[in-house]
Amino acid sequence: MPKSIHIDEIQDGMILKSPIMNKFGQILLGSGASVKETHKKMLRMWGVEHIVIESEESNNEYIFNDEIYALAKSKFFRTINWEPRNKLEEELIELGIITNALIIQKEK
Amino acid sequence: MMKDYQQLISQIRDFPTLPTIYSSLLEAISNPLSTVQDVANIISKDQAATVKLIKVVNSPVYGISSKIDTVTQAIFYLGFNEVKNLILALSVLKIFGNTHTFNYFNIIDLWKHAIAVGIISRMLGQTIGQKNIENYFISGLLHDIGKLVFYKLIGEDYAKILRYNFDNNLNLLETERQNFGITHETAGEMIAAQWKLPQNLSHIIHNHNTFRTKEQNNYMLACVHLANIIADIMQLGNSGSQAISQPNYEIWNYIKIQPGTFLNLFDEITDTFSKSIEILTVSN
Ligand SMILES: [Fe+2]
Repeated sequence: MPKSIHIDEIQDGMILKSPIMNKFGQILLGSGASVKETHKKMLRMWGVEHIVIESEESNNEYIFNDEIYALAKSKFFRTINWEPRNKLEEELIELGIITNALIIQKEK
Repeated sequence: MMKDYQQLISQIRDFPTLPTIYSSLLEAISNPLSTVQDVANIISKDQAATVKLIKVVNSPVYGISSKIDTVTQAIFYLGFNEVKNLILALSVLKIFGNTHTFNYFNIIDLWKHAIAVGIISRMLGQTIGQKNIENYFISGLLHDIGKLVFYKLIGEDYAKILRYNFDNNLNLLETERQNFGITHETAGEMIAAQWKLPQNLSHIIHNHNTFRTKEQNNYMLACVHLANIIADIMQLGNSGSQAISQPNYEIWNYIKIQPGTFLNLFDEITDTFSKSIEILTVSN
């Protein structure tokens, strides 16, 4: 299951579940890449606060390629004008991205 | 396109009452001398309602593992109150079942949204460990009753409004206020009063969008408020709003769950929803 964590929680070897993007939508690290603690500084520089990693506590698997994920994300963000204030709100946003990604995948 | 406000209000006042099966049922249940058989007899007199009731009880909404064949069994498994809720749901479905639909916005999409909110409210209630969740499904199902009332009364105008609101990412309450002078929350509350629905249901109908509440411990309102947003996020049915609102922060005092819970519920919601819409939307 994808899990959203703050960049301070990054540990070596965590696997990215969704690509890390900067404000301009450019992909800094693709999904499937493993992150290291040394990445924290770079991510902070790019204004990235949260990343989505693969987590053990999983029982639901949604894997999308980076292109679909990025498209789904931009589509979903057009329907919200708010920032998440806690983990659960971040997760609501993840639900929205997954929903859009599944629709895009189906259309293809 | 401002509708004549007074005319709309009087149309709402003249709105059909609930079928008599519901009021007879209420009466029987509030009578301490009634037996399960008395209540079952009232329902069994209405054959269509009986068939539907059995179908819904066997649907994944309730997740009962045994097969239920009779009204008496249904009462045994679900209790008077939940069976009464289901008859209410079926009565409402009957009232709106023959509504003429307009291409701009299909009324079935509103109904699907309602079903999704019912299902999600109930799951959230369960997830946060509420012991008494029997009213959660009906509350979610009926939260947008005001929209259905608008659709039945001024279908073409309302379908256009919904489409316009959706396509332009607008706030539906605002759009309704501007065009009709009254929102679906208020229209819904009027109908709830006319139908003598329970107070907490009417409260939810009026406050589900904003989570305005003076009451303490309103877990059910918190669940419906959030379920309404999740249904939009997961695009289950169509509420008429594409713009997804942020939850009222106060609900997080009620919805205390582990991160990961929503993602874990995703498949279950999708699954229950797709199995339930067949049963709950086939009408007439
Ligand atoms: Fe709604």
